[in-house]
Amino acid sequence: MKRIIRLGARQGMLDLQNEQDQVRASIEWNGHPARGLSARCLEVEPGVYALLSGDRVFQARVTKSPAAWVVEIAGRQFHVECLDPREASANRRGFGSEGRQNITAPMPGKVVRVLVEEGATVEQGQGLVVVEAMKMQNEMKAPKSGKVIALAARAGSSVAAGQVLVTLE
Amino acid sequence: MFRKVLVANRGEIAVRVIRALRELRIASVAVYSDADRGSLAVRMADEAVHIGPSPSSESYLNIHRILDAARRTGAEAIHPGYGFLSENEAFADACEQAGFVFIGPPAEAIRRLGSKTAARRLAKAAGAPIVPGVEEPVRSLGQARRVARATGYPVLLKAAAGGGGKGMRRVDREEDLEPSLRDAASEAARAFSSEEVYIEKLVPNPRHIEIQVLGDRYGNLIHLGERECSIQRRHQKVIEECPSPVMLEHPELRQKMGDAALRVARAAGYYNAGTCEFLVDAERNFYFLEMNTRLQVEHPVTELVTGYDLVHLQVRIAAGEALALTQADVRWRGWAIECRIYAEDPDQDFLPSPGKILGLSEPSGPGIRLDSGVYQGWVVPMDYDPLLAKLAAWAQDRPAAIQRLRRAIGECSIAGIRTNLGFFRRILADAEFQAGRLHTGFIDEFFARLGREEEDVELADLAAVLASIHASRHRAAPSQAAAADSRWRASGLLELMR
Repeated sequence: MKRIIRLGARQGMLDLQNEQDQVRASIEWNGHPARGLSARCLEVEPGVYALLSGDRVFQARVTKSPAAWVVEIAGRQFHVECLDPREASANRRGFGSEGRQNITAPMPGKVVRVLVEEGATVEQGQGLVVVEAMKMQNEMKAPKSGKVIALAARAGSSVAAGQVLVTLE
Repeated sequence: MFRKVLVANRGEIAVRVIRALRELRIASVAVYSDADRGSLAVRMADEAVHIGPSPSSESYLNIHRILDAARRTGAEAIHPGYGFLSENEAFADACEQAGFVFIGPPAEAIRRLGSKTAARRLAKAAGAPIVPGVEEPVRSLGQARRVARATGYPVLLKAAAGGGGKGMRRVDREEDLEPSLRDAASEAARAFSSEEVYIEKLVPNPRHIEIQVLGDRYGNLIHLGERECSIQRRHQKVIEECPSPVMLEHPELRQKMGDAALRVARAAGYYNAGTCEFLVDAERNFYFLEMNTRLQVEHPVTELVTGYDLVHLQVRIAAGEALALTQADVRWRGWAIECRIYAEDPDQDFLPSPGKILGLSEPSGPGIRLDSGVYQGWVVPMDYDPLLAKLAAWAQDRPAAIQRLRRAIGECSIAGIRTNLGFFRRILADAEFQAGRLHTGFIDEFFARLGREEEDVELADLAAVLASIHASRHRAAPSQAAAADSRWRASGLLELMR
């Protein structure tokens, strides 16, 4: 099977054959030359894999997050998105569009203060909204200079992780 | 001895206390908020009483509800844990008024030590050294300017009633004083219902070393040595150890600091377990900061090295027993290091990361102690402090303890939420840490020195392969799953649909 892989800023193509626990793969990151890989992957508990890469042993765990598969291996965490190329072409969407930018709540919590008004011009790094969770306040700052075109955050309201607080243009 | 004790807390410390009670053959009563109905503490206790909605102000801080729960279950004493009501003199008073023994110091001692400014005055009078500054809360901006100028910048603003870095601000220049003062006061007001703030001189790159004190109701007062807690982020401890690496070359310091701590405790009329916190500068001058009138989060390292169970001792003292040990009995054997595992993301400036624990592997083996408040499937609530568990290692010396802790961290895996485990893996591998050159600015310096960890290419390849295999076996990719069965997923879907 073929999969489009996104891992952090990198994107790549994975070609994978899997027969029982034996895996052969070829992986090509962002135009780097393709690398071959062969490993044995045994799912020993749901989501927990005992991996042999050559003779080296790895323990790994795969779980879901809202947007990606989270792979924990050798103490590292990787957030991997994998898409079937056939499905990917059907619902393509633009990544990293720079013009308009949403500032989202990084964690579930409560908006304690809104520091800007709709229509205001803000500088890069300027505080926009203060969100509190787990007894800690976090000031959301403008990732770039621009104008506040939408202000969804209301002081005192609860927000979910990923919820849009402010839109800048 | 008591027959039944109520634990007025949650999370790992409630579990810790319940374990001690069971060992003492005392029945335990847990209290819980809406969010904690399925918590490990509630699962482990003998009895459990609902005390209100999730916000702590309506549950774990609700004195009335907690006393009701104690009455209803026939508890004889109340253990407050740390945080919440543990250092609240009104609560200690209310317990005793209602006929319950408060497992902690007398309310009067909490009152004397509760305000940092009052504690500094008391320490000074008792002959313990304190950081230069004012013992009085600042009354006006003008007064703050005068004091800061006289002390010399940089200064620290601190909440008089505070702890854990809340209401604390570093001020480097006079023009920053006014906004910092405002922030500190409002944060202090929110966290401690008192906006009193005081000023002290900032000691550059100090070590944070504290002394464990223990006393009974009959005037017997001893110390169990120090804990080094210099590894902090945002003034919150994350790695603690006993002994302090300083004591290797300067063993006389333990006695000196121990004496100072005992002087403070004695002056306050203290009994039960308590901790005097000190700053120690490069010349090993030490300054009393405050006394925590409760069990500390990091008490396990002292237990591992001295062999005493502090919670057992707390309960025995509260029940009116005399201390069965003297200062001469206390011996320090080997080395213990603890790391606090938080639900937070070290790559995103340690932002809290509440949510469901989807996978959990707990470390074990020689010399390992895990004090956890979570289990696989538990949803870490967003309403409370993000501490999940404390992982401690004991070994014969510091290098061996570090390697043992590294080994245990390698065995530990927590999936579904972000944790700071990877951060500990890096810190414990650091040469500066291993050399014991610790100070409270260590973490900031560490990140400045090393930056973010480079990605391991081989592991990234394997991760991509595993994710693809797992996705094909378990069909629906997270982003395509039809049922929005959690707000995490719902928000993720929103994010994707934008």
